[in-house]
Amino acid sequence: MFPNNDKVTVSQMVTISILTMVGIGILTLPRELIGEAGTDGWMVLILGGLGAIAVSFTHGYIIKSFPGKSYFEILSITLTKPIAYILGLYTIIYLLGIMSYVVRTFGMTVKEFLLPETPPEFVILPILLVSAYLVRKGIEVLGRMAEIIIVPLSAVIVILFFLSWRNAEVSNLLPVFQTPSLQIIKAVPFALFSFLGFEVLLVFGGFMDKPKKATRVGPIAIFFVLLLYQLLNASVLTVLGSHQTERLIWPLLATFRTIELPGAFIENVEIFVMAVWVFTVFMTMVPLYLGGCLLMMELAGGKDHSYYSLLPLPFIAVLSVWDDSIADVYESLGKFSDYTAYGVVLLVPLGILIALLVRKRKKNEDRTA
Amino acid sequence: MKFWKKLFGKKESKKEQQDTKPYKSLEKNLKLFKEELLKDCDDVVYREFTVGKNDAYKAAVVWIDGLVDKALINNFVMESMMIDARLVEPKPSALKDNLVDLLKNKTLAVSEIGEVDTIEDALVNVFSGETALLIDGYEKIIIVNSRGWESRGISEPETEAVIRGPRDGFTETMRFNTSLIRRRIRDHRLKVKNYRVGKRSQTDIAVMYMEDIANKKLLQELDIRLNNVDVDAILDSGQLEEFIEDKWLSLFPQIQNTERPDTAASAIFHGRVVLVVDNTPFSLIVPTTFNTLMQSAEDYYERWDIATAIRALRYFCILIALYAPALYVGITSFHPQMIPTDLALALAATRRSVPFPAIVEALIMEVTIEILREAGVRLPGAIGSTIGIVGGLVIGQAAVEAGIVGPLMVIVVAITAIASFAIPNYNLAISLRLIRFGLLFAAAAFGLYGIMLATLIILIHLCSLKSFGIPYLSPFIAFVQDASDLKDTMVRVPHIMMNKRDINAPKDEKGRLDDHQEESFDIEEGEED
Repeated sequence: MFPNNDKVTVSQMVTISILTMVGIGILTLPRELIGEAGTDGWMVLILGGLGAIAVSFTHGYIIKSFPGKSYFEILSITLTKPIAYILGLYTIIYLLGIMSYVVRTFGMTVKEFLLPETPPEFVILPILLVSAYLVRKGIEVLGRMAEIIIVPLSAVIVILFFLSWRNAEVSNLLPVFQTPSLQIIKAVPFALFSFLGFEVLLVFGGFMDKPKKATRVGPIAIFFVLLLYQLLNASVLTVLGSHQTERLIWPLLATFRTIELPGAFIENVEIFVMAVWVFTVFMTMVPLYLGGCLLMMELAGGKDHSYYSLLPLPFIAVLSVWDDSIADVYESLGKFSDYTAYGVVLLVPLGILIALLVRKRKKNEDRTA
Repeated sequence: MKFWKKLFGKKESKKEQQDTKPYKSLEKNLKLFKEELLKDCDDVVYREFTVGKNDAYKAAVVWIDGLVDKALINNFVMESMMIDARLVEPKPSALKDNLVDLLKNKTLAVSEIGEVDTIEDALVNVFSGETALLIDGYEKIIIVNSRGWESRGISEPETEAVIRGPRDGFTETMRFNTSLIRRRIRDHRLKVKNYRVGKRSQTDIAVMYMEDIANKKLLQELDIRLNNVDVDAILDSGQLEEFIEDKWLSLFPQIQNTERPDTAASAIFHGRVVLVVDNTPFSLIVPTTFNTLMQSAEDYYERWDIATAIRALRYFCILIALYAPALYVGITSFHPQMIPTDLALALAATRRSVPFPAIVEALIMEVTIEILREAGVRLPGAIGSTIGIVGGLVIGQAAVEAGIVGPLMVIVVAITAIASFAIPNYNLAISLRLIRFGLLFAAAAFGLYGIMLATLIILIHLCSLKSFGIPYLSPFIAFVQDASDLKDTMVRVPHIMMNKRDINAPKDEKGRLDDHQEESFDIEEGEED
């Protein structure tokens, strides 16, 4: 009667996008913002957010134009089948590659904060298996997970920020408007990439129950993430100051580490921080993973993506322990996203858009002729 | 193998579809009963007699001793047919053509009478407590409603006791139960559909729902699932539950059961469907969500603010019941830095003499308390409480003094056990008991990280569950879309604000109350103006 209809609502799609975005950039964002624009990072963020909203709007427009069609189908309709295969593979590499970097960073934080003596492989493997379990269940369950997790997660995050303000020094936010505008504009592409993750809409758009509202998903999600990033940036800056922030690997976690609740049952809130962190990372990994599996299924011509859920796991596991140190990880992540993210987020959708417009014009001409 | 299967499969299906027409002759019918079908069934009673002034017509009644109301058969069947029928001489033409109509319509003074065409139908009816009336020369069998057996009276439900609220509970007789629900819903749109499940037990099941509020697809699906149950016997609704639920592999109950007619009626009012099963006081309610398992009938009868606080407390209890021992193990063996230093030192001091790792310590106490609980349930009341005292106090105390478990562990285990009793639904509570052990092992392997991973697995599983098409975690999993359903979840808003039915009702039947308080109540503010 009620088949497994594999549909996500608009709000579930928004929450999936939010959670995917947050996990990638949140740890290092304040440090990198300071590196790019000093204390004027908030301006960069706003500009980057606006840029991301514009890009995600085009993504939504593409989904809206092909209601119920999967990304691969859209690619093959607009850019012919052979190109679709190449671009599909390219997208898979991007999604799973980004995922393995997320997993790697995650493994390191867990090693640092929770399990100092466990080898990283054994930290990474269980969460990969759990995410494979969710991937098997498919998009519908992922949508539900996202929507049920986001409220407690954001509540805990906001409370953590409130608690961290005990040590805040507001003057750390100053000076403002000191960075030359050219430098700020140069930093915008970087800020745009701190919103990476909204492109999952492209892959999951075909499952939306109301594809007409697809253009809303990205902007709403990015708006919320922008709010969170501003809060994050401001909190880290006020608590740690720009000089200290620049030197820390994970300034956000350091900020939360400063929280002390003297006299309370739990003196430090690390347990909550790590809980939030595990959930955030998990919800970042799974959409990327699922997106990769769905594309793999279509490229290989299967009908049930769950058979593919364990297939990429060894590659991800190997990739995620590839680099030796944290510095290497961040460096190769930068290189990797340079080669892939521009293509997947900007160029390919642009190509689809152009093909779409050409098709439309052709149709109109046919009609008038 | 296939050949054999085919052979036997055919044979079986042949047997099932057997329809025996009754003979015209009474003698042959009785012989069939006595010597073939009901041979060696000594609880069957046969009574042959003659009807009419000239004793011209032979008849017989058949019933099962103990299942029927004998006074009814004596006074209104036998007496009517044997004595009253002789008083008036009917017209010969009527006698000739419509003897049966005459008997049915003018003689038998019983309120409910039916006719069946086959022997099998007649037998099922007889076994349900009806009386079969066979008349010589008539090819159908008349069924006289004479059900009346010894049964437990309506008493207070034991599993879902409330302080404020109705005290009547379901009993083992299906008809009593449906009437208890009907008394609460005086509406022609309340439908009661009968099913028979179980090839040999032929258990009656009444499906009750509100015609306009219940989801049509749900009813269709329920119909399919009930008709597909192909088992020899259904002894309790618990067995039926397993046959019709979505995923029998899951630990979580996907169908709610209740002993309370008010809970059942309330479910019907919200567009859910109630299955009243014969021979058990537990009725089933579908679809079921996690949220409904956390509700107690009393929440709606107490003041809303108190009910809200209690709801919140229950959800907190779930967290304790699931996580307390796992957190103890995780923190003591992996992350002692997470608790205040003084507490960590005190904890270490109490655990100094304990020779086991924390997981073994926790397992010893957890298994002990599970044994105590199981023993307490099976034993009669007085001994049960003794077990509780001996187990809880004596063993706990002795274990601490002997130095095999830490005192904090005993506290943790005790709180966990109590918290799991605070969950209103017993089914859910026992599932959580089992899951707690899983969490315990996860904590022993990976500490807090393991607990979080296990939580994720539980969440994924819960998110993937559906009960008759309704997501198990609804409305939490789509709270933007079903925002009004949140009014009856972790909070219970005042009734005046619960103006919409939840996800189970179709879109055009959402409204359930109009607020007339402001316009018609004599509230002082209004007068002053």
